[in-house]
Amino acid sequence: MANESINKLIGDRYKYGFTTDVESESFPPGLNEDVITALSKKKKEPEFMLEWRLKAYKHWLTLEEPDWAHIGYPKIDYQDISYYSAPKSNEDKPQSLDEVDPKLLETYDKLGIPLHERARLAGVAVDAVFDSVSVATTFKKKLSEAGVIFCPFSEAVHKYPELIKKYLGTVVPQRDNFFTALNSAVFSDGSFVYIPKGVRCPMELSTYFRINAENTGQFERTLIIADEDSYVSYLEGCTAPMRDENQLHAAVVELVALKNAEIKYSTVQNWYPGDENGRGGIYNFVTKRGDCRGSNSKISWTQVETGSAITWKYPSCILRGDHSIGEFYSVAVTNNKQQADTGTKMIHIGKNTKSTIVSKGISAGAAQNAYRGLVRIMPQAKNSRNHTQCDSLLIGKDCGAHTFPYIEGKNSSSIIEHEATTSKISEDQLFYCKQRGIGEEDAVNMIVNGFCKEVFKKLPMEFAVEAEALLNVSLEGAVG
Amino acid sequence: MLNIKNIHTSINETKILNGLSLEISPGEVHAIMGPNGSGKSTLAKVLAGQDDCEVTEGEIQYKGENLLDLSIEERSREGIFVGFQYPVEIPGLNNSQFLRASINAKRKHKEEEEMSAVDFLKLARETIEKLEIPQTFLNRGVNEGFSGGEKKRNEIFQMTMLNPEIAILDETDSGLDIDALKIVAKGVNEFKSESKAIILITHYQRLLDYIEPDYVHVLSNGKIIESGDKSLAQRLEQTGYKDDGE
Amino acid sequence: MPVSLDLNNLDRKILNNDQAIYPELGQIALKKLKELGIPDKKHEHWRYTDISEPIQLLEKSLSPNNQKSSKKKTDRNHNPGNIDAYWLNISDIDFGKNKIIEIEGYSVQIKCLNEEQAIKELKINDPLGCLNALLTQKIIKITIPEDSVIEAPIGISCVEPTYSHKYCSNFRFIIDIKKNSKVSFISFYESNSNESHFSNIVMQINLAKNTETEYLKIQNLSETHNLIDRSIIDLGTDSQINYTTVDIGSKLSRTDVEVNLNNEKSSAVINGVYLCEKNQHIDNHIWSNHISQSTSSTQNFYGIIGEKGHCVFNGKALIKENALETEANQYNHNILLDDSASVDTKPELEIYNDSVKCSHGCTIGQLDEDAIFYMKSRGIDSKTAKSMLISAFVKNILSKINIETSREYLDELISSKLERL
Repeated sequence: MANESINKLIGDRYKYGFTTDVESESFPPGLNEDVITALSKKKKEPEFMLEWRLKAYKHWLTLEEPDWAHIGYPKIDYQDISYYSAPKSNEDKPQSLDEVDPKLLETYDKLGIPLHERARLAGVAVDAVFDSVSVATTFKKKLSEAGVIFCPFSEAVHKYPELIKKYLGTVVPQRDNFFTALNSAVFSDGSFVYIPKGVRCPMELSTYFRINAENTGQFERTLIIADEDSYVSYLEGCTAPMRDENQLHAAVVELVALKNAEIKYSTVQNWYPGDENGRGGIYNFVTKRGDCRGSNSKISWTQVETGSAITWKYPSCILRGDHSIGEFYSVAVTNNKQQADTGTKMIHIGKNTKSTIVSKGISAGAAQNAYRGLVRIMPQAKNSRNHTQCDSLLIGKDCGAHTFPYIEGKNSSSIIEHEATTSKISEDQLFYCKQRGIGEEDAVNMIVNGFCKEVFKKLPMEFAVEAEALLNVSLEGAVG
Repeated sequence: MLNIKNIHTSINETKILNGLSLEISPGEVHAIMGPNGSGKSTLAKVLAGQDDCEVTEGEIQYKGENLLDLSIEERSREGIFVGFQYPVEIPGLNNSQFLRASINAKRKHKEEEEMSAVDFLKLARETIEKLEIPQTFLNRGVNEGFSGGEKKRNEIFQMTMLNPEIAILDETDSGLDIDALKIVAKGVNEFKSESKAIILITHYQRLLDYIEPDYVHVLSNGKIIESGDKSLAQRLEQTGYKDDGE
Repeated sequence: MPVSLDLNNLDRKILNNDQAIYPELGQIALKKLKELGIPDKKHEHWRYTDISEPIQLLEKSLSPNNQKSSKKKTDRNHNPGNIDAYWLNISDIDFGKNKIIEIEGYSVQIKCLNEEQAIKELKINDPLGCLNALLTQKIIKITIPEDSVIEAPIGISCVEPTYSHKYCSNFRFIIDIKKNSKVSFISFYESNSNESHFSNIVMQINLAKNTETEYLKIQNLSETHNLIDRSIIDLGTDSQINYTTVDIGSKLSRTDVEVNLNNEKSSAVINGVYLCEKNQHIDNHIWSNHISQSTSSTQNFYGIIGEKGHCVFNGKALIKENALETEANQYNHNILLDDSASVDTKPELEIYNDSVKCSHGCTIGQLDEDAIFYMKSRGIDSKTAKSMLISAFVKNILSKINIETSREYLDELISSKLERL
């Protein structure tokens, strides 16, 4: 492969790099009990939330940042981060789209999500988070008719405190790890979804997160509960404007699927990856976990990760209910100096549980891309099955691809199969395409897209198109 | 010799055989024909004793004994051979080791002396030659990497070596080209004798051009709906299964 | 059980106990050990293996009242398993001495290193290796001269415990194979008593240019015996090794193999078979470090785990920036025979260039039910069918051993073990 061509592709600039000029009201940097109390007060939270936050904070103080992942970055100064930032105009909450700051709407427009139009055409309800506070929620009516609750997390704390108390922190405990403790203490906002018994959510729910203000960490908290016999498909997209400073993003997502319920959670993550020299970019330390609490429940994670300077993310399933199913389909693309350490955990506890892992890692430029996964079949999880396929594709001589699977079998009636391959993009395939008159870049895109097909086809339609486009953009210049 | 009386079976709670009866005496060749899903292969599985085929009603007498009381291996040692439609592959275990264990298990059961490795190899080589199978067969893993045709020939080879009293051959003709079919038929015809019985389970009449059946039965919805002689098979070939049966 | 060993008093203890044969080397090792620490389950490489018992035995061996047994065992004509090989007798080689033995017309040198030589030759890069260097009483170097082609295997027998090492023994061997040679080795571990014992062994194997080495390790220790055996293999240009470990006995057996593919066109096949039952713990850690280009490595590990057995496999292929045109494969297949059996496996790849072809595959499962049915339908009883399947399964590894004289013994060893599974 010709090097100039690689460099040309790598040189592609981040398309979503712009800043919205909205007056923000932010806390000064720093973290202590007063900041947390002020944050809770600002959000007019009930007492139990403040207590919960402070408990998490106290525990966080005893923890050290994990260092086991295959990533390297300068030490984060947690006292140098502002833990609250809200668009000022939000003080008087917009009651409809018309009341939303037009500049915000313009931002979404540039991102390629014309909110109302997209919502109308695609039938998608969008709970858009701008920095920390949700600013617009659409299709509430249709959802409420079905009995579905879909609202900003901060609203749910007031309106549905019982549900929050019952489920918050039950899948991802505060103490789970350094970042979950931090998130539990300072989380700003996020989405809350409750699908009642027997309800098939009438539309795909979608949230676009965006980090805007400088030096603000974003700490979303999402909680989705699918009650018995219900179904929901949730889409999460992330894009961030270009910044020179690294920004921390430490979200927590908790999913609960009760008996016969199914949750499909799809993510396209395209935070700012930093420039070709590794300057800037988002540090994405995310804990996502689903609990298949009831029998015959199913949780399916699909992710396309193309952005962030650092991705540290392991969407997992706890297969507690008998006959429950967990799935993880992932495409992770790293280019330039990006680093990704991502994968999943499948913990089989119930009998006849089944999990599937398909992970496709693509590493280009000087990037490092690691798959890290755990499959554990407990002694009581009789007749369980896991199949894992994790493939890595290397593009360019300076990149790295790593595979760290932990596989633990603890009974004799279950079957675990794990397969992995790593190779560079096939010269034969490239040659074949070129011989048929296809340009190198197109050929690479086609081959890479083919490599990822298995995962893309798991995405909802509108996401799949976006994902393919994103992949091509991310890899531009990576090949020659 | 074999008397199947009104058997009903289900696999995973789905009913397959539905009151099938059939009586077979030594020296006879029976062909069982029928469309896909009629229960042909299930009959083979029931006779072999596969665990997931539950017999819910009826009985099977074999040489005066209740066949259903016998374990899979006891049936085999008592002279029942089932040639499978899809013989399983056992990587790493070589054919001759496997077959010798099988022959000696039967001999031990009959309180006969075990066959020595030398005698076994001699017999195996002779048999394999007659069946026009390459000698290398013996050293390969059981069905490992075999083509469809090779697997079927291996089943016939095993049948010849084990010399059972009744052979149930499930779709032994499927996936064979004409030359292989002839070899398989030759093996079966050489096996045929006054004292042996054969059940041929097949979808097509083609096999019956080479192995002449005494009786032809049509299986539909889990029971025999028509029986006749060889001409029945020829008629089926012309008209298909649809006109019969329902 | 927490692992504890007071490193601060360790050197004094050893001196007091008159065990310091290599005092200077010991100081170097202790310094390194203090940096590394005694590993516990928080240590990534030891997360599935608890070494508190071996460490306790090691500590016990240092106590002043650990009197040496007076009866000296003569292993002079010991021929383990009646395997036809040149079994070396290391007990009569004294400190700093060496002797030459003629094998098939080639002069093989066997030498017990003195301190200066030991410091020069020793590789110490992990905590157990440090402990070994700290406590070792004999460092034996075997040198195969240039251009030797030796047909018969050379045997190294460790019958433990030996008369002078109660509770714990720390041997280190260096095998130096000079260029253009072809040779095979058997290392054999067995117990001669049921006393609790910990053997901490290090094997350094250096292959010079254009050499070919077959290495077979047979471990059939008693159920009270702990073994940690670390092999460090350095490969020269165009050299190749076929290494096989057969783990049958012991309470705890940990095999570390570090393969350094330092030179072009070197290749390593590291295979293993383990049969594990009754509270046994068998752990294989294999690292293939691809440093130079056109190198290849393969790891094949097959295990059968019975009642209350616990097995661990951690294979890793590290492919450095300059190791272009590398091929690395790892396979680990496990069959669990009982619900109380468990296995933890971790096949890792760490790759830093794009000119590679790597794959790994691992399975945890049970014997193929369809195959058992098929065999039963041919008259073979269930027990025989299972044992035939298991034999076929382990044969995947045994068939790759190129030491003919070991075959009969191994078949017997394995079938008698299978009887018990």
